[in-house]
This record gives sequence, C-alpha cells and structure tokens, in this order.
Amino acid sequence: MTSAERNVPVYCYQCVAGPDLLNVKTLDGVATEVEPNFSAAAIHPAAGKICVKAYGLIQKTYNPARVLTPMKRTNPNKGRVHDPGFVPITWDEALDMVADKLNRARARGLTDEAGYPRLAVSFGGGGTARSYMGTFPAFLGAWGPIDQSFGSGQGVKCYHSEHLYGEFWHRAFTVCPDTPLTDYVLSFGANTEASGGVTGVWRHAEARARGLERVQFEPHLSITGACSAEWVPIKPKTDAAFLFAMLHVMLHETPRQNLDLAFLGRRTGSPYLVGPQGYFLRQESSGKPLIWDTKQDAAVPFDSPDTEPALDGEFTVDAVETGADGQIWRHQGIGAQTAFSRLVAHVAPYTPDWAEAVCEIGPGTVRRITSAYLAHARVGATIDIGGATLPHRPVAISLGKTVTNGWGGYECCWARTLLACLIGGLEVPGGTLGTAVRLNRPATTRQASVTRGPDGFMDFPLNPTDRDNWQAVPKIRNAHGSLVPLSAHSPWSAALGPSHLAWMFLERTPDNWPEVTSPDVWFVYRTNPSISFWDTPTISERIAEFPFVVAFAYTLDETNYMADVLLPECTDLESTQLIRIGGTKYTEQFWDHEGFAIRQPVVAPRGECRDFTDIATELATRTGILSAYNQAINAGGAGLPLAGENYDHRLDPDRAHAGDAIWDAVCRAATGELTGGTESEGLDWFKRHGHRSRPISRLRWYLYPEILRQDIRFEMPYQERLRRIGAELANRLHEQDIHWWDRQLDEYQALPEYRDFPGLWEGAVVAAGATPEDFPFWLLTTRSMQHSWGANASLQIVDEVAGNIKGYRGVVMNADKAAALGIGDGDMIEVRSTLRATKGKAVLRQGIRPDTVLMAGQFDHWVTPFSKDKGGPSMNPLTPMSLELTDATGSAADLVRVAIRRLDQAPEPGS
Amino acid sequence: MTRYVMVADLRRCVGCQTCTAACKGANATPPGVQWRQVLDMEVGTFPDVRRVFVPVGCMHCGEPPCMEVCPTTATGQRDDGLVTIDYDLCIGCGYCAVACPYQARHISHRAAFAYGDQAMAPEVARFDEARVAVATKCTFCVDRVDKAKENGLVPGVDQEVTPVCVNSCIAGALHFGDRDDPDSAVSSLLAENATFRMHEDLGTDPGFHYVWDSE
Amino acid sequence: MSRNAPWRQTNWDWRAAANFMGGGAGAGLLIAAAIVSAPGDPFWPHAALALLLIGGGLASAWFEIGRPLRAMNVFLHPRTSWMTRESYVAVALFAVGLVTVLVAPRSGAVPGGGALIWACAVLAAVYLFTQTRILAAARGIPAWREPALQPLMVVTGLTEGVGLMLVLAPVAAGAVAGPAAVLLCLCLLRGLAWLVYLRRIESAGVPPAACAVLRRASTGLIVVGHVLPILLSFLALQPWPWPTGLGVLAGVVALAAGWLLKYLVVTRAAYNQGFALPWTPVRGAGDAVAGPRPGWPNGGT
Repeated sequence: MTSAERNVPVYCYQCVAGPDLLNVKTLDGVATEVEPNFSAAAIHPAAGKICVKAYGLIQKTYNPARVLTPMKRTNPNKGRVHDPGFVPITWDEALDMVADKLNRARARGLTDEAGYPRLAVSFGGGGTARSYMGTFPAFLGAWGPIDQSFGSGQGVKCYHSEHLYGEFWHRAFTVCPDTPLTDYVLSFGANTEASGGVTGVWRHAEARARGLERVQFEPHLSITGACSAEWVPIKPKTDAAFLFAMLHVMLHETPRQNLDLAFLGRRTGSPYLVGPQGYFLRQESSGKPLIWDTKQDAAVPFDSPDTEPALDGEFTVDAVETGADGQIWRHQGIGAQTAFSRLVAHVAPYTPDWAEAVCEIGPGTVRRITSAYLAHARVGATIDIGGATLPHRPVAISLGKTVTNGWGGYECCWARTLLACLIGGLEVPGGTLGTAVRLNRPATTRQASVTRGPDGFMDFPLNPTDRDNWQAVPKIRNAHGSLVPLSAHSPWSAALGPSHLAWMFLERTPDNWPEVTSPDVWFVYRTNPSISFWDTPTISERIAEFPFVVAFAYTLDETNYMADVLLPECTDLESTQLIRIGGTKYTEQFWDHEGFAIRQPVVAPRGECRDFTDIATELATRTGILSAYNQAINAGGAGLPLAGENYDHRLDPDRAHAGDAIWDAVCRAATGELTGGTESEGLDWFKRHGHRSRPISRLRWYLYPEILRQDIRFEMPYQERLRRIGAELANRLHEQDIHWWDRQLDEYQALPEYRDFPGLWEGAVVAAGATPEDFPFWLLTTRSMQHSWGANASLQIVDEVAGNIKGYRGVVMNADKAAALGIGDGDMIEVRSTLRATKGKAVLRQGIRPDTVLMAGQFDHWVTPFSKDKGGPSMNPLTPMSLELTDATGSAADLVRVAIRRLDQAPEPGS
Repeated sequence: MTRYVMVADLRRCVGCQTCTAACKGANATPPGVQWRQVLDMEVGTFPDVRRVFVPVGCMHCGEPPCMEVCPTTATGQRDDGLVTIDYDLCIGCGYCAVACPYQARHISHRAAFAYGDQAMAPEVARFDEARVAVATKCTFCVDRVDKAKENGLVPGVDQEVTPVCVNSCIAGALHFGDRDDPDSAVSSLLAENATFRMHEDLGTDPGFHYVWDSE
Repeated sequence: MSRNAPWRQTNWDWRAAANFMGGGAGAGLLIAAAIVSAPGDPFWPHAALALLLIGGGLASAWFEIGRPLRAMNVFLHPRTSWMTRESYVAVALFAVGLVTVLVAPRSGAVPGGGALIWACAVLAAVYLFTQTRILAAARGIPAWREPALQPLMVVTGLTEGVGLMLVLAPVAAGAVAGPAAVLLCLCLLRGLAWLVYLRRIESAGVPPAACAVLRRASTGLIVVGHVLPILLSFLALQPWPWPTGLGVLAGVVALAAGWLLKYLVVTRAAYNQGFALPWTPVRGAGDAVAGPRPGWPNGGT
C-alpha cells in the first residue's frame, strides 16, 4: 500500500441480516474499493465475509444524483403531477424551518385533538436505519410521544405472524434452524439464500457440504429452492394444509413412542386438562391449571412435585374454568380431556388425502416427508454444548414471508412450533430456534427476557384487553395497542401493528373509531413507502396530504418528492456510529462473540452533507430539549448506556456536544461494558481497530436451558390464553359498537382450524366487483439479495450484477403456460389486478407453477434516479390494502390475484 | 511446476453475485463488463426442475485458444498457468474473443462510466486508458498473486494474495490454488470430489474446475 | 444481463465479413485468372481488381479493430496465429501483385510473366487458405470451427473468382466459354460443399439457432445462388447469342451468392458456444441430473 492508500474499517448494516464488517480502501482521499475485514474472520459466523450490497457503497457515496445540499420545496402543491421545485437552502435555514414546525407542534401539545402524536417518523426495514441515524433515536426519545404507525413495509412485507407468535411462544422474533447442527430442514418459502445475509448463506453452504437435506416448499423455484435437495411446488397460501397433514400423520399414523413424550409431558402444556368451555381446568383455590397425575390417579396442579402427567385421555375432575373478563365456570365430576387429546382429535380430519386437494401435493409426499422428519429427529439423542448436555433434535422448519404474513400465518406458525414440540425439537441443538427479542424486554439476551407466568408458560407483555386497561383511544394511528394484544408495548411494537391501517384510515376512518389525522410533522429516513408499501399510488396521495414532511434524503425519490424539506445526511462511508455486534439476532446471525463495531468517515462528506448525530444535536438544541436529549444518550440512546459498573462516561446534559465527543464516550462505555470497566478505549481506538468483542457461550443460542432452569413449559399445543384475550378483545370492541374487526377476532382459536386461505383472496376479487376466473394467476414476489432492504435501486453496479439473476426487472411465468397464452420469452405483458395494471417483460421458466407469476424486488420507480430509466415492474401498485385480507396480528400477505395478457393483444371485453 | 486454477463448488454457490460485484470493484471494470459473473441456469420440466448457479469467466486454459489466435502476442501464458493480456500490444481485433469458448473476453471500444459520460471520483482515480479498445478479461487477480513471492504467502490460503472473487465468496464456493501442489486445498478438492470442466472436449484444458458431487 | 444460451457474437460484424468476401473473391480471381485465362489474355485487370478487393477487405477489418494505429502489431505472432500469417501473405501478395500489375502492358500477356502470374496465384491460394484457417481457429464459434467450412470457403473463393472473371470478360476482352464451364463445375462443387457443411453442423454441436439461420437461407442460396448460375453458365456455353451477357449474369449471381454465404456464416450464424454443464450439482442430500445446455432442445435456459 502506498502512503496515499488507506484501509478504513467500517460496518454495513443495509439489511436486517447484517452487520457485515468491511474495509474500504481509499486512494488519495477517494474511496475506491470494498473488501471483507478479515480481522473479523475469527469472530464472525461467516468467516468475515460481506454481502454483495456492501460492494455498492462506493457508488452510493459518489452517486452524482445525490442530494448534496439542504433543499426546500417551492411548489405548495404536492402530488405525483406536481414538480416540487426544490431549491437549495442553507443548513441554518433548513434547521430553522424544521425546528419552527416542531416548536409549533410542541406548543400546541405533543398529541393532537384526536389523541395522536403530532410527530410521526418512518424508518427503513427491520430497524436497519437505526444503525445509520447516529443519536437521532435519543432526539426522538427526548421528544415524547411519536407515531411510528406509517409503515414502509412492516406488516405487509415482513414475517409478521412469526414476529408476534414467535415471541409469544419461544422468544423468537424470527425463527431459524440451528443450521450448524441440523440434518433436515423443511423450508416453507423461507428464502434464506436471498434474504438470510452472509451468515445464512455461509451456514447453509457448510450444512449442505455435510449433507443437510432441505426441502423447499414454494410456488416458484427460488434461489433457496435451487439450493435445496428437493423443491415441492406448493399452491400459494396452502402451506398450513401441508403442516396440518404432517401433524395428522405424526399423531394418527405414527407410533406414539416415536414422539418425544417426555418433552411433551414436561415442557409443554399438552397434559393440561381442558374444560367444556374451552379453557384450562383449574384448581379453584390456586387458579392453577390441572394435569392428570397417573401416579396418584388424580388431577393436580401442573407444578405439583413428583407427578407422572397423563398426556392422553379423558378424566373426571372437579375444577373451575376461567374465561374472558374473569368469567368463571365451576364443574363437579366433569369429563376432561388433556390438551394433547384435544389436539389429536383436532387434527384427525387433516389427512394427507385432504391436504392433496388443498395444496396439490400428493399424500405420498406428505407421508414421505413426515417420515423423514421423524427419522431425522433422533428422539432421545443428546449433545454436549458449552459443558451442558442438551437434547439433540437435528430437524427444523422455516417459514417465509408470505407464509407467515396475513391469513394463515397463525396456523403455519402454530403448526411449525407444534411440530418442533412433538419431537422435542424446540429451542434445542439442531432444532428450531428463536433468534432475538424485539417485543419482550430486556432485549439484552433472549434468556434475560424469560420469566415464568402463573400458568407455567413464559410470561408475555400482552396489550391489555380487560375492561379497565384496554386502550379505547389508540395512542398511535395504527392502533396496535387497541387491536393487537400480541404486538406488546416495546419500542418496536408501534412498527408491528397493522401498519396499513394507518394509511387506510387516513382516507376513511371506520365506524366508531377516533378519526385518524395526518401528523403535523413527518420525518422519513431510509425508506420509500411510495414504492415499498401496497397500493403505492394511494400511499403517495396520502403522503401528499401530510402538512410538513422532512426527508433525510439520499437522492430524490417517490416519497421525498412530497417533502417540504430535504436534509442531506452523511451516508454510510461519511459518518460515525458504534453498534452492537454478535450474540444472536435476526435470521441466521448466531455468533460465538459479542461486542461492538464502528462506522467512521472513510472520506470527507460530499457537498454539504452532515453527520446524523450533528443534525440530531442541532434539532435538540433548536427545539429546547438538549438536556433531555443528552440524558437520553446517557441512558442508551446511542446504542448503550454510558455508565455501568466501574465506568461512567456520561455527557454533561446541559451543553451541546460534538459528534466525535459523543461517540468517544460511547466507545469508552462499550469498552467498559466488555471489560467490566477495566478498560476505556475511545473513538480513536475503534477507528483504528474497527471492532472489539468478547466470547460468549454457545448455550446463548438455545432457550431450553433457561426453560429448564425456570421450570417453564412451552405454551403448546393449546392456546387458552389467546382464546381468552380474543374473547376479551371482542367484548371491548363490541362494547364500542365496533364490528369491522370481527373477522380478525376469529383468529383467536385455541386450536386453529384450517380455513380456505386461497379462497380469501378469491373472495377479495369478488368484493372488488370482479369474478375470480378473470384473475386466474397468483402474483408473488421474492427478495433480490442484491437489493433487499438496501435502498440501492439507484446504484448502477447493483443493478448490473442483479441482472445476472433471471427474472430481474421482469415477470417470471411458467413457460408452458405462457406458450398456451401465446406469450414468448421477452414479450411485454400486462399484469392486472382488480386495482390497476402494470407491465413488464415476460421471463419464461419451468421453475414456477402454471398458476403463478413472480415479480422479484420492488421497482416501478418514477423519481428515483437511474432506476426510473431502467423500468421494471412491482407487485406493490397492484396489491390492495384491505381489512378483509388483514389478519388478527394486523398483517396481510404479499399476494394478489391477477390477469395476464400479451400487450399487443387487444384487451378482452370487460377487462 | 505451478498451475494456478479456480475450483467452484457448485453445491455451495447461491448465485448472489458477490464475486461479480467484488471483481468489478477491485478491477474497476466498466459498466456491462464482468470478468467474473455467475450464471443462473435452469434445466428440466415443471415440476422436475433444477436451477443452478455457475461462476464463469476466463478459464486460464492450459491450451488457450485466445493465445493461439492472437496476432500480436498480446495474449500470453505464464509458467504458473495464468493467461495474460499485454494491453500495450493488443490491437483490439477481437479474434481472441471469438476464439474463446467461454465468452470471457471483453472489448470496450470507448471509456464508459456508471452514470453516463461523467466519471465519478473513484472512476477518475482508477481509469486506465490502456484498457480502452483492447481485449480484457479476468486476470486471476495477477497483481495479488504476484505479491505472494515477495511476501512468502500462498495464493488461495492468504487472502492478501488470493483473487478477490475467492475472498468475497460468501458461500465458500470459490477456491484458488496450485493444482500441481498435491497438498493444496484445490488439489484436495479435486481429489475428493466429482468435478468437471466446461467444454473440456474442445481441448482447451481449462483451469477452472466445477465440483458437483462428492466422489 | 448474463446470457446462457449461445448468442450471436458481436466482436466481428459486417466489416470482418467484408474481409472474407473481398479476400476470398480477390484471391479466387487471381487463381482463376492464372489458370482459366487463355494464353495472351491480359492479366492486369484481374490482378488489379483482385488487389483492390483484398485490400478493401483488409481495410474494412482495419476499421473494426480497437487500436488501428497499432495495426502493425498484427505481424508479431506468425508462430500460431493465422491472422498474422494472413497479414504476411497479404504483404507478399501485394508486393508480387503490384509488380505484376505495374510491369504488365495494358494489353497482352505479362512479359515473361508466367512466373509472376503463377506467383500471384500461389500466394492467392495461400491467402485463401489462411482465411479459412482464421475461421477454423476461432474455437469459440461452433459454426466456424466445423472442418467442413474450410473446403466450402476455398471453393467459395474460387467460385467468386471465376464469377468475377466472367464479370470482367466484357472489359478484359476475355473468353467466356472457359470460365463459364469452370463456374458451372465450381457452382456444383460449392453447392455440394454447402450441403455437406449444413449437414455436418446439424450434428456437430453447432447451436441450433445458428443452424436455423443457415437452414432458412439454404433453399434460396441453392436455387438462386447455385442452380441459377449453373443454368446461366450452361446457357452461356451454348451456341446461343449473348454468351458474354449470360456469363456476366452467371458470374454476378455466383459472386453474390458467395458473399451472402460468407456474410451469413461470419455474422448471422456466428453464435458462440454458450454455456453448458454435464451435471447439476448435488445440493446437500439431493441428487444430480443431466445439466443444462441452454439453446439446445430440452437443454433448459
């Protein structure tokens, strides 16, 4: 390396599967190359490798289309047809404009007349923006109530049911196979090789090399399907049917001793007795659920010592049932079945032959795969991990986005978690694991968030549904606290409500509901809901109605086109931030270390771009909340508390601090946390070394030891608690004469029944005034690894390399089906839903069902530089936001019925 | 003797194009020119379909057809097997490009940049006039490989002297090393697995092996 | 975007094809003029036109190369490169050819010129051969590396040359009967070589798309490019009026057919090898099947 060359360590966290640690090479002060930071190879789960998106960071920095000065709008009219007329202004002018609006809002009260926060914010996918916004979270923390309702993809583009039910059942915001130790994975649409990041790809490649058998269920042969041992082209939205049939085979066609009966008896609610009202039978004096002890031949509380619980059977007991709102039924000599017996009866109709009619997979395949699942489970096997002997169950089930999103998500998540329990494979080595907590607290580790509830299950911070505490007036516009008890009330919960409801209710607030208002001020950063949400033209119209929009802008895009002020922040290679690395996290991020990594200016900021931390400090100063802002930083607003045992690097709250001073304190606190306060390395040290970590026990990967330690049971199979909160929620809503959420209330079933999920989408076509036969195709999407979460559609290099993947910026359809329709490879076709039409080039493949078409990624840009000239369709403008397709968790699926025609063909009458 | 070769384990490759992007970054190739790329191929009839991702580029053939036809001797072959191009000799006649059965050679007849005519700062910093209107291709990152001797390092083992595509590969699919060294990782891979080389029947003795199964 | 099935190469376009057209026709003309001309017929018009065609072809190729100012580097690799060899032969051919043209009187035979004429003819033959070898050595283009292309190219060059002789007959005051008879035979031979080539590429691993291009053109090429000049040559040999006119027509058609054939082979049928795998990889516990060979029936995409 010459003296003019420099290697600068930074991180990339453009997607939820990060962070990746990299070095950026500079030549005479110009960033020229990106390469893995191999000094992290020993601590990183993927040998220090970095994702393809990181290689776009050079272009991202120097993109000539960047916004490089603050700008204000000169055209008061907003909308797609109105040129905003942005003109450059000074930072002082821009910050004064923003501060003025904020101060006015603050003066009028932090919430508006309807009770909603006047300040709203929307950030990019999966919390990734937080790794780039410096101390802005501290500003928001200091501000007061803030509305994060306006989704930019959450709820409609995420693993929503998995997030909510996963955290409920096993502290699993996302769920993952224990890839290094598993032998057999059933993957229902989980596109690990495209969205699992570097660690996902690396761990699965290693697993394949040692013989992992992965079966991919998906309507099209995705990247992950391509890398799997077998592809099963299942009909869209019928995954639950296959999983239910597996349950049937395991419970009706398999010798019971092939299951992990000990696990079921001791670590699940299977032996709990269920009463005629559908609630657990309880001991009246203690309120504890009862089990049948075969030693005493009597019903005893579940936590009685020295019992031998009956798993199966019907028994006569005296007990009480507790229903919604404290309703109690007292029973004498009543016949009671165990939850397990109820389950066995419940799945009896779901035979493989039944499943074939639903999901179009033959019964032989169901039985073969179930048999393999059982055989690989090795019930009874153990393994030593970190000095402890744990069960080893090397089988796992992964669920993908459209499987765990919208109707059917609950059923799939329940069946998957139950299938793991039946062989004792939940949260044990080789099995199905959770990765991180976002709704439960504390979030330091999954284990730390586990506490035992009164019924022996893990406690969970459900939003209250009782008469006294239910949120009759929502605190934010998506009403998650009122409508979705499972969304809990952590800082993440706001983003996990029914985010499309906020957009929909702006247009028309439903009956008997506080009118949903536009926020006085909306901050938007690293997200583009005008492209990434659904019914995107309508989203743009709603945004255009917002009175004051502040966009932290990289380039002009379809969302900030409606902004009043554009603030150009230093991007990835121009600013400073320290983040946590390691532990266990999203997707396949399972580390043997934990620590911190730095992002630092590799090159001088371009134009007048400013570091986000400096912007946050300025805004805090100009809005008079500097002290609260500094205190928020001290409390952890910059990623970690600045004081701990044996160290204290807190900032003076009463004066503004330079960005470097703030991050120096953060770095010293980070070192203090890692060393118990014995060391205090500052910003300069991190800038030189890039990262610092310490080893952790691999036992952190598994929840099972903590379950054992606290003698907890997984809340499976019977969802008594959900049934109760569903009934209570129904009571609350009906007391307000609210009935538009009734369909969602049906989801709160103790044992979910299979419903005709595809039929719901066909019903939506009918509801839109059309006939299902006119829209015979399913339109799906799939993630592009090169693009997903990256906000990099304007980068030429990313576009170029992504173009090597077939179907990129096109419409993939079955070659034989296309031939029957007279469509040739490369023909322009129109894809039309009941909402509107789009067009794209047909890409003909055999690896897709004849009834399915696919649009990868999200394009359809009309402002974003470069991408708008490249074209390419997106399913988003075609996908309606609708209450009828919204499930109880507030999510809906990336799925829509469409019609296809070649564009040189005349439209058919009526279409 | 030394014969440097690339081994791509197709069982691992996921088509992520990280190697493609890393190569473009490290070698500053212009838009549309990919010395390393990963194909997305499909075979079979629904529902019995396989999809395969295949890294391709210059195969650094033992019997390079490009070198045989090159009228200027710009294309050469080193003792370690690397097929090279002397940009100062090449006349850009394209004969090598039509002689290569791997579509690995590229001629950009004019300077091209990511965003039109205006080069970005890194493009200015790394622009090489010598590579305009001549044949270019994957070099196996010869500059890095050549640092091995002076530093006592081993290409394919030490990342400083290993091609960037190999360093970047997030699936552990790409390997580089000396096929003539029986103790090298690539020799072990070739010995222990079922492999093929593309268009081997053309007599090119390609230096790019594909692992598709274990032995 | 990456392509998997063979696609038409773009490195050599019509300018490269023109080199084969001009080179083949010019060389063929020199050979034909040396062999077919009656003793005493003027040689220089044929030689001049031949050099013009060969030079024009080379100039056309020069316009295609990326670094034309370095064109002299083309002479650096005679050991294996047929392009270098072509350039050497071209130099020799031009040297001898120019001398021949310059020393030749405006009418009548080249003085003592048998040797010069034959030297021209021999160099032209070698030149024609080098051109066929240039295509054969391009292993990346299956339609070119097919061995049956070489006799086709040779006979095409000769046919074009004889055709040109007939075209020149009115101005060069040459006889028609001899060239017409030879053209008839050469057209028969070229038609045969074409059919053999067409048959061979269908079974020699040439991309179906390339075969289809040539197959589509074949009927017209045979009927118009071969049967017609054979008929015209035959008629020109008959004791009918206008033998020269018929001969010119036969020559033009034969020449045009030859050039069309070369244009098709060098550009339109110049599909590259594409990519193919013998096996798909085993993914974990999966299995392998025969790999993709896009561009061929059931070869996938």
